[in-house]
Amino acid sequence: MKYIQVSEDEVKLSSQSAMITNALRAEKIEQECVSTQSDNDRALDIAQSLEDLHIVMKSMEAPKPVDIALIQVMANTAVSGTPASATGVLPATENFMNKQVSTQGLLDRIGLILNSFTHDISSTFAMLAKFIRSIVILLRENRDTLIAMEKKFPLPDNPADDIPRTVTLLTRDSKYLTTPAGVVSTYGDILNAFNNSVDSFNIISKVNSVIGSRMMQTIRDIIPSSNIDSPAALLEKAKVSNENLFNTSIDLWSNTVSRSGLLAGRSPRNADSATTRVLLGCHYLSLEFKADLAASLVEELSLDKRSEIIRSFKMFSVSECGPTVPGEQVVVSGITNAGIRMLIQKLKDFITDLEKFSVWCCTTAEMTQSQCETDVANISKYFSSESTDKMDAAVAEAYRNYIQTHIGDINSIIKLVVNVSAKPLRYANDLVNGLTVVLNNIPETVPSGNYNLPKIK
Amino acid sequence: MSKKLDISKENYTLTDSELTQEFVKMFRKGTDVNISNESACRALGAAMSMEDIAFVATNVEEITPKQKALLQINSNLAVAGTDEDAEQTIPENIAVEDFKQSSNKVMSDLTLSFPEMWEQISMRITSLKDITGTIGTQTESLSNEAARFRDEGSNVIPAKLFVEMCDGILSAPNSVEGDYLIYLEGVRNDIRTHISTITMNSIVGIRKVMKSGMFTFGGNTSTVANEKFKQYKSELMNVAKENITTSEDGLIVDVVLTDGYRLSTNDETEFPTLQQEAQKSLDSNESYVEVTVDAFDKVSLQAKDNLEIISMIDVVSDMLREKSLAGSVVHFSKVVESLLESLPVHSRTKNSVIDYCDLFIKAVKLVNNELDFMLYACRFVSAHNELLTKIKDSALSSKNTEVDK
Repeated sequence: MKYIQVSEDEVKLSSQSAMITNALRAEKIEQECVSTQSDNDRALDIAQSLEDLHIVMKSMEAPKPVDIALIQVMANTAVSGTPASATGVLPATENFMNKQVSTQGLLDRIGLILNSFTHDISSTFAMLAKFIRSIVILLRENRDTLIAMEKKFPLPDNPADDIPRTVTLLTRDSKYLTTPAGVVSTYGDILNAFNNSVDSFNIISKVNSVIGSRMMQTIRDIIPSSNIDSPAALLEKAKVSNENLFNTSIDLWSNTVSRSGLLAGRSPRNADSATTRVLLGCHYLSLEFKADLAASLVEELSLDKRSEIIRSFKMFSVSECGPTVPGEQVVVSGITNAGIRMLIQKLKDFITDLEKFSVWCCTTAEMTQSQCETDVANISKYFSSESTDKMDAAVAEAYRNYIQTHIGDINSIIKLVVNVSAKPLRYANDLVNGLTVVLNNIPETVPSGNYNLPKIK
Repeated sequence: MSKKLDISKENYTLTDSELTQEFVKMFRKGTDVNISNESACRALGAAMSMEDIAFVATNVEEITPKQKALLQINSNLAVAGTDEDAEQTIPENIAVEDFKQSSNKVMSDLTLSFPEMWEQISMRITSLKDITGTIGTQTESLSNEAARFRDEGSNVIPAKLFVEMCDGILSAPNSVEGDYLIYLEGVRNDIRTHISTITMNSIVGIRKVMKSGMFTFGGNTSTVANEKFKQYKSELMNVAKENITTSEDGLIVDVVLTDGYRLSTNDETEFPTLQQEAQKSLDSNESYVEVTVDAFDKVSLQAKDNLEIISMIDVVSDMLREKSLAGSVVHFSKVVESLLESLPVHSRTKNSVIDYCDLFIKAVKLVNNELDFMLYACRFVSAHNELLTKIKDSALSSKNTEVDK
């Protein structure tokens, strides 16, 4: 088993401020990833719109004042709500009177946007890998806390002496003390909620690993890692790239759906077990980069509530329940030391599973990053005046189309990696944290009876 | 309207894990507010662009296919990077009316999202209150120990310690690498100055903006006499950062001040007050400072002796005393409550809505950034509680060694 390399110094953090620093560092990295993703989505859409404008401008002989006004509005719209300047997105409007200047100016802008996009994508993958490492550090901190906690709950020699007791817990983040049926009232409630969550996570991590491997293969197939200069090969790849992603999605969807029994004569509406819902949610997300397709499949399966499916993906039953008031008292019966120790052991095992999953997530992120880096150099040259002049117009356009499609695919892949690795990991980490806090709140009580205490020499 | 803050409950001390979770929760809420705010900025921008398009399109007698294509590109750009479908925002069969309707819809959706944004702000404040409560308790106890330590050791004892701070949270302008006390003093001044800005000026500024917004939206329609306007315009131009504009209605005077706040009025009797406020803003030369510090820098600092260590404890605990940090949180929550109450339910004209949205977005950003600053300040104090305990232990150990000799 290969673990993520995290130095011992980073792991051994037990102090309060270090815990806070680590937790906030993970949040910050995640926030940066999300923010970059959102900027990238926008950059791609803007690049596409500029490409459309480029096509319109080529066929426009002499722009009228109204056309120029519309182009000016366009520049303002493109930067609306951002600190960017309109002139950074579009060439100066007076240039639009000269067709050649304006069309080449547009291509230059598109090249710049896409080039910067590819740089950002590469750094996003690096950030994702960093985020996953941060989560691993947090999980290991929790494991240390759990190990220390075990000592609070010793096992008596005779199990009969471990008498179930009733404890009063003070809720902070109450979602870990509630189930769909309401506030937990017994030890069994906590255990069931935890088991459901972990089972769901294990299923999803397995399915995601399969999706990830298949996607990586597809990425390798469609990303030109070496010879982008062959127009024939490039055009060939351009033709198949979308098709490949599409087929992979369909393939994965059908396999999993048939495995879950959905197509084996059972109505999806009735098959509402946690597992099925998780699988559907997972595959909805794996298909996110083909949102229309996902929507139609969801519709076909009579599952009309998208948000419900997405919620299912989050799958952690305990984390999805309604709020109670922080500081409220929750009375839980049936607490034994053996029970607490079993829950602690389960949490520790879960952390080990999460570490394995993290290795896979990190590998996926790092591999995709290295694939992206091979592309950076190739982007801008296909939008430069030099290459446009040398190339046949049709070939130049095909190149540009290909690069835009290809970049769009990379953008989809990053969403996939975020959805199937970073998000579930964060949910899982929240679950571990929440339950660790709950367990930590259970008062230390030594049950009556004999213990295997160390003998005094 | 959004529910009010519950600030009546007593604070209670959180465990280390709980405190960490509270920090995380507050950070996440801050992210949510930022995202909502960015979306609001985008929506406002899109709505304004659609107004512009409608304005341009009104002057076209017959739209050519190429112009139609340009309009379509505009629609795509308006929804770029969002989940919105351009065709749903602006129908394929483009007409001037469609742009106006779309703009109305975007604006209306935007206004509906405001209470939720305030709710998120409120939740951040509640969380911050728990954090400051807990840190306050911890600091108090540390401070008592420091006092005892001071009583016991009146001699200056060398205590050369190198401290690696993994929480270089606030970069004080006067900080000097290696000199811990100067660094700490700089941070204290930073926090004090900033917090006094929060309590004294920023909040008043936001309230002023919101009130002027209310006045603008609900104000009467008395026409401003042109002559009167001209007279004040020249005076106001001297103090306005950008310029003075009038609305499409020709009634509202809108002044952007040096600190980014805006004052608006459509009542000539308000002009002297407006000018006075504008001048005050210029004189005070106060501007809002955004927090752009990196929270994860490492700084190596050195303490010289035990007295310096005691001073550090005093400085840090001081930050929470004097009602600086904890007091500000309570104050802040009350201000947000009053702002919640001052949100107008509806407005009269399109331009008023655009203006109001703009003000609201600015206010949210301002409040959120102030909360971020306080969060950083809390982390600073939290990190120092632990740091100083360690320093104190080491210094005591040095003292004991000295006594043994």
